[in-house]
Amino acid sequence: MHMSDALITPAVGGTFLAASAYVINYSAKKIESNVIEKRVPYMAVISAFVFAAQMINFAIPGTGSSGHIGGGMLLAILLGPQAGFLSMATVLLIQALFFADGGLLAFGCNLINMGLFTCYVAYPLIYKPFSRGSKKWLLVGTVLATVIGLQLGAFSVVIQTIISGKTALPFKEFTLFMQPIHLAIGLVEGFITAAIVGFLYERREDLLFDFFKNNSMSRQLSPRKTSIIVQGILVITLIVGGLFSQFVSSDPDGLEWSLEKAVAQAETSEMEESVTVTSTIEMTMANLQSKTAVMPDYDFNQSDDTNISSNIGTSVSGVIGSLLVLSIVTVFGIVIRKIRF
Amino acid sequence: MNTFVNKLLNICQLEEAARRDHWLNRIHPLVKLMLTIIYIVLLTSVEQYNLQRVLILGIYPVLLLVISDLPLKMLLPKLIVPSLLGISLGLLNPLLDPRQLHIAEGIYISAGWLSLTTLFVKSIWLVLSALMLVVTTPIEDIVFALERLKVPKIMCVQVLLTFRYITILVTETERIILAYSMRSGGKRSIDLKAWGPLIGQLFLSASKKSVMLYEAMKLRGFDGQIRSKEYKVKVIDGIYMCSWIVIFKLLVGVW
Repeated sequence: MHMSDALITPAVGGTFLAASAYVINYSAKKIESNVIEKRVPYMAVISAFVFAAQMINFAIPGTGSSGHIGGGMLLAILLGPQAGFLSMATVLLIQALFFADGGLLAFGCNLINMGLFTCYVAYPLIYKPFSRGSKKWLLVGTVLATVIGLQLGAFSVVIQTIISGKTALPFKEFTLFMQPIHLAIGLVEGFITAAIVGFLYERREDLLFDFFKNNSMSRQLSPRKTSIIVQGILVITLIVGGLFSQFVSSDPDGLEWSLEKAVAQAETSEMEESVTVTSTIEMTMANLQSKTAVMPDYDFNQSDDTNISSNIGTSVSGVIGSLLVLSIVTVFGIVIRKIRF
Repeated sequence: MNTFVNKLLNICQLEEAARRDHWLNRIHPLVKLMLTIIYIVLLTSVEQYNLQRVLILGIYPVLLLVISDLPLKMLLPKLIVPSLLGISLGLLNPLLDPRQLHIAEGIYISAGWLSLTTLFVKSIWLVLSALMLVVTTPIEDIVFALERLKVPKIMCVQVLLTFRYITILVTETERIILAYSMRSGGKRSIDLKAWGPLIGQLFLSASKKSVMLYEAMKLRGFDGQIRSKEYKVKVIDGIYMCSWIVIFKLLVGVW
């Protein structure tokens, strides 16, 4: 699920990099200074463990294929959300630098997709409430949290790709392609993660972050916290759902999209014939790009007269789209802070 | 088992190259990191149909490759596969964007193929530029540069320690998988019932190692920080940085 530098624009990459830098700083500050000394080697070794575990192929029964873990949820379960997020950042940075998985500009996108949604959304909102029950519920929570974390990450990949506009993938079809595939991947990853968590629950439950704290205090969810969680999920659902429907309604479906493309092509051919033969390749391409933008509704300037105005509109729409995603991330952050896990 | 061996070989080769005595390796790490970031931003800013500009911008990583005296054979496997994987989302461009673009008198080209080619070339340059950073800069120096860019210290230390521990844990994982494979008649994938115990054992082993690592580091005075080598900016670093910025300017006329 790694985004690569080639698929994003600097505006999208930069915005997500800024958002991820904020969460990195927040996480680093949250880990108390007096425990850094002890926790850093542990975090580092566990990050290396996840890196190594990612290379193991797990046979998927009845399919003949195999899958592997992504690691975000596992890191959160083993280290807690803050340390898990930092560890995910470390793994992704090493992958970007030494294995060309992702990239330096796409680092922020990848960290939000694979780290934030697992450590700061799925972990506190899904996994934690379930982890307070029996082993069965702990495992159910693990699978659910992994699946939801991956679904959110996959949807974020779609948003980043569409906003960047480097591919011709239409939003609706791309979403309908990505979400079910990642549902299957998420289930496999969820079961693998649950198998590991189940094993540790039996052998060394003290190694599961929060397990000891939760059980020794025999703490049940207070009505207030339950209410906050429910409200948080509702807010997130409304925001994500609202954003989702907004995109769906503003973009044409597959057939309309094809028709629009065909019309745009016809218009382009006419325009090209009328324009002088001496126009440069660059200008022609810029013109075509402005005519066939993936999200034309996001272009504030609808004027066809100049390339410059169209380009500015496209850039502004990219920034606004990125800010929208950033707003969602911020809302997630506020909800999580309120929960005080 | 090739995945494991290749991963280890990759890391070792890259690190060995980064520790060579070459003038490029002696350039200030922050300068190299900043130039790589500037280059990535510059290249990713190019429109999806502007193949000519993307090709021209390849001068930066290609020139670095030539100057570094590193064999292309060593970098090629690390270049092609990640570049292809990196553009996987754009593979449908030729089907989704069948328009014909008029590029010169009587010459038309498929927009989808053009954007895919541009993406692929861009991906190669981006991967190569990141590779050139790591083959000319040891991990400690990269971490030093990250510290200067105000990346939290805890993450810098973690990057360094994780990088060191990857080799050890990957070797251990390889041993576990090899043992499993030999006992299960050559199976390469782990069966359902072994999912938890196998990787759980690996985790327990990693956890023990972390305690040993902490104790060993504590005995040597570890206080939560790793002090990296101090670098001073030299004249050559300034010349190097300015030269590349001028070249970038000449290539694209951005400024």
